[in-house]
Amino acid sequence: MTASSRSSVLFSAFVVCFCVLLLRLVYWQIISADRLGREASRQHFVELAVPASRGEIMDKGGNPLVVNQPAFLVYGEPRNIKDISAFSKVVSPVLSLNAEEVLNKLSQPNLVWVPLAHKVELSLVQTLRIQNIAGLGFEKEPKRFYPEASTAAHLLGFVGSDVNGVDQGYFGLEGYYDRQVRGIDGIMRLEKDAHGAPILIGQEERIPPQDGRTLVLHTDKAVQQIVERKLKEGIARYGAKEGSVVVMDPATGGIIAMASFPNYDPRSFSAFDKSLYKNPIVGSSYEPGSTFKAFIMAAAINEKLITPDTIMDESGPVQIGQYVIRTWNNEYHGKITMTQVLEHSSNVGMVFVAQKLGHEKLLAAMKRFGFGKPTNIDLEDESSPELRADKDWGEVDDYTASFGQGIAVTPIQMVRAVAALANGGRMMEPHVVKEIRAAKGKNIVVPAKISAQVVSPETARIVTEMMVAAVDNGEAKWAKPKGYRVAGKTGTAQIPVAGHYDASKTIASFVGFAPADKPRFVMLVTLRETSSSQWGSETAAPLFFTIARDLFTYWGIPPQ
Amino acid sequence: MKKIARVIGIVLPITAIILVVLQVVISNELATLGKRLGQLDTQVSYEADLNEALSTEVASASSLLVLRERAQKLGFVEPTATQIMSLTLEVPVALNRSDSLRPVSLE
Repeated sequence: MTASSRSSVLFSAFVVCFCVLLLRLVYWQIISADRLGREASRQHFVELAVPASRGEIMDKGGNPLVVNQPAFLVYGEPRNIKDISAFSKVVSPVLSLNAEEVLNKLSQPNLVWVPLAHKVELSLVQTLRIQNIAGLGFEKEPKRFYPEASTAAHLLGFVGSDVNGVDQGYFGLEGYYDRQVRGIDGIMRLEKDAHGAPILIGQEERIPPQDGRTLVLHTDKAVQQIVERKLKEGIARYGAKEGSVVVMDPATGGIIAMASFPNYDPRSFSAFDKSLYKNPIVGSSYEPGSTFKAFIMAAAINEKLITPDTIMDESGPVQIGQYVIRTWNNEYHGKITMTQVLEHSSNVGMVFVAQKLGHEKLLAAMKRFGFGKPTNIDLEDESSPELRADKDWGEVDDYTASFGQGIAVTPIQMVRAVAALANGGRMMEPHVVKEIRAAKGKNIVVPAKISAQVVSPETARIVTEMMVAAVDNGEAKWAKPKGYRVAGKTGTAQIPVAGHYDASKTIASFVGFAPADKPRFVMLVTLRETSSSQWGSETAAPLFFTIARDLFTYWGIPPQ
Repeated sequence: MKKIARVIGIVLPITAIILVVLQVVISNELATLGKRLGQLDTQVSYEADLNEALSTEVASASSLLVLRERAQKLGFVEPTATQIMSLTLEVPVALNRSDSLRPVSLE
């Protein structure tokens, strides 16, 4: 081999080596750059997620209804555990776990990180921490704490996990305001030494968490407690299957209290039937029965078609096509005024009013009072039954709707519509949250919102007087607190089952407001399938007045 | 001039040596403080957790459910009709709750 060819071979060898080196560098620096960068970062830095605190929920006086409790995810790292069997025996009793199950979990091959228990309380974590057990780790995982236990469960909702195991609010306020209250987690990235301890003069990056916003409600927890206690007693006394009460401030639309039974405990929501999660006050519909008469009466007065003194002849049942409409007790009073129609809760009298009003105006009035549309209350579970299509209204439907049969409403729609009569004809949008407080930054006050002027102030005043008369001279007058002017109306509606009404199943209700001249609250009480009596005047009305009496005392409202 | 240069020639190296030694000592000191920093971070986190736990205890102790229970144990009872007084002249004793939940039969 000549010197020239030897140098060519040597040169070629250098070129090949250079190319190999170049390719290797391309592989490291371009193809594997991300992976290697991450590995290097893992070796040099410790990265910790700093969980944001979920916003708290306070009542109108700033008393906590939902707060956060420190809790932890407890996990094991099998590679760092010397004796898995001994580890299981030490850890399991503290976490109330089965030692054998923990052993099996940790013994599975190729696992580097095994979650052992979620949402473990601080005291238990401290018990484990002081033992300094190798391979046992803790990660913050705060959980909700309810100082008032299951009070206002339907209103508050609960916090569960989404598909990725991240906390998420469901139902009620937790569901509706989930994005506001959940906050944004922070990150802490510190350069670490060989032992894993942070280096004081090393690189450091801290992105602080943004805590969730706190919700301040219109709800008063004392009123909520009164309502829940009385409702429970009422359900037991009258043998009802279900019951609901909602109390609203007619001037602002603020929800002062809202309770339904049966309910669930948000602390252990998974132990309850899922059907109990939905708030029936905003998510379930019912036929309102005679409580609906006040709106049709208001519509006719507003159109100046009748006055409280207009006389009609209630001499017997009314025949509408193939249907016969009777009074609730099949008693007839001859010539009576419109005020007496409400006092006697006369279905025949309401047919007279509906005939005066006519189909178009009756339908328009129902829509104006907000029936058939959601109220836009700030609760996740709201749904609204639709009014039947115009073409589907038969002649008899107008008349049955005038006394609240054949039409479905939600309790929140009902209480909002009555609140409009209590508020000079102005219908307010119902709201639970009064103020949203940011952890850092300005607070947002949720303003009261007028949905519509549904009737004139004069009509509202006239109908209020008629409702006061309905209470003072109606079937439930015996239960009314003496000395107070309460405007209200009883209702008893049969429950439709498979296209027919079941005579033995009724929803008894009472809706009203007080004091009638300057209403402090509007309240609706509904009791489903009561066994002591089917009539609202003997069940829902006395319960309404029992609660009202406590509210008068609590707010210091003297008799007029 | 030469004297000044000689002084500088001595002072500068000595200063440099002192600074190098100082840097080594301080770096060494700071490096060992990492563990302490880690402990302090853990302590801060623990105190924050403890603070939160105490807040929940306060919230729990001041809840209406607990207050009601304690009041009942101390012998407090709900007011009856005659125990509620109204200051209005027209109806001095206005709240009559004796038959509030009395069921009646239909006539």
